[in-house]
Amino acid sequence: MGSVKIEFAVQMKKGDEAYANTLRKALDGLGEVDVDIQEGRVIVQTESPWSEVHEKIEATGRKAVLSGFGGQSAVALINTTGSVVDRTPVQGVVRFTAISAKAPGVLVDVVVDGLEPGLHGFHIHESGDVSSGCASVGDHYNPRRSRHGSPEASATERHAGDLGNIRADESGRAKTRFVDAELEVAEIIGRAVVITASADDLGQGANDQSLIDGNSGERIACGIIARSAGIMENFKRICACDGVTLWDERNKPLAGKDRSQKL
Amino acid sequence: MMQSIAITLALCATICAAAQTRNTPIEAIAYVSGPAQADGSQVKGNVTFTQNDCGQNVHVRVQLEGLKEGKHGFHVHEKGDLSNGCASTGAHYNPDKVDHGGPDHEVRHVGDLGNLEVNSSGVIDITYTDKVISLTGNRGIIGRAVVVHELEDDLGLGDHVDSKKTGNAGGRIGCGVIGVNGAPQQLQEATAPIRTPSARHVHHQPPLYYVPHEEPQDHVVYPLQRYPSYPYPYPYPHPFYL
Repeated sequence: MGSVKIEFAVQMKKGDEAYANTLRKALDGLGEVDVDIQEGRVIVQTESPWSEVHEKIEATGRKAVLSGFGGQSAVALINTTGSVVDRTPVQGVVRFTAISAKAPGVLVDVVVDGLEPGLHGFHIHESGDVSSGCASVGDHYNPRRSRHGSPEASATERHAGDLGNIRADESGRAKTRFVDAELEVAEIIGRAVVITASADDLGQGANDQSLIDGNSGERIACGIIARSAGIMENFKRICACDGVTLWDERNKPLAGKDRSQKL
Repeated sequence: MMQSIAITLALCATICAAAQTRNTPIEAIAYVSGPAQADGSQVKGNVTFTQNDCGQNVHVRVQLEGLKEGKHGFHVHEKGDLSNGCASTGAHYNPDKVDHGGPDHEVRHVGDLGNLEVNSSGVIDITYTDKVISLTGNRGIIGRAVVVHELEDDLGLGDHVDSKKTGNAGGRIGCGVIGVNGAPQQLQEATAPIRTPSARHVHHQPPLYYVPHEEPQDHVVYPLQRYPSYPYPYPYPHPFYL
């Protein structure tokens, strides 16, 4: 399990050493914590899912925004239409980062809410076209033209995009973090992540469909894998076009009249 | 500098060779949408990018509806990460760290695609060619975000303080992430009508390919449209196929 550096912008006063200590205490046990009290930046080297670190920082009563994830990284915002502006019953974030600059291997960090409890197939599909929703993203990403299989199988016994299943708990939240040894971040950027209604049988089913998509059923949610910032790559704190700050972004729609703070 | 150019070229060549896409158009698509407005209109539609080969010009087709009449700034942002809205997308895609400009200016951000000029119908369907953006390599725009703005981009020529940074184009009315589009062969299959039109409904089939203009460097081969385009810039329940 690769450990990865995650950067958060935390709303704190410049030079607030007392709060920095509170924060270090709150994050104790998660990994190496580096607090920059001048810039309001916290970098945590951890093996925990980013959402847990985020919850722990926010539990101290301050707003925190993830601003960098590992090295070369990517993110997919998941919902039922695949369009980034829609608010739908299923919402989630899947983050990817390279675990090493030299070797393949991608760390995948998933948080998705609003799912039926149980297992759901989780795959990368070949295209990032959501003009007809999740239906238009094509088949499983499969550059080697191999059969469908388990993420643990060898490269020739699985699609490169086969990431197995994610398990949603009683509340409908699926939260997991794993490393896939075959993928590379550069090759999946611009493609789509899809979550399906049923469990993926990992190619072990008795019928032909099992070797195509693992009988994982209907696509219920998807998102395009977009480029995102690694640590120390994005210092943007305010949207130049409409003046919305980093801290207000989460309460604002991505576009439209309700965003504007200028009069 | 030479080194970085060499690396970029090598990367580009590797990617093309790896995908065996030499002389095969590379395609990308962004499904752009915005929130529903008070009057019930909503900005939505597709922006498709086609590059016939590495290093060649990129043909951009913008098909949007629900826009107000007038000019609207149109940009590619550095990241496609909308997890924290505008802040996480970074600035205009600007790997060379230069001033904001217009698409035809010598000094411009890579992501400066200028303005969309919309007529009173609120629907726009235009095709043009951009010489700076690319779909491949490290500086490719796949995985980044396109944003449509409320106001006109002054192309860096205005006197507002933000003119040289953002073009002062006001708030955002729509955005989308640029994704990989399927290979043209697959597009052709997908274009076959779901139901064969009956004899009564024989109609003009969309052309297999179209050439938007006759510039010699282009030799553009546009892929098939997956759905009838005009006047709906997105897959709409089309009367022909009902």
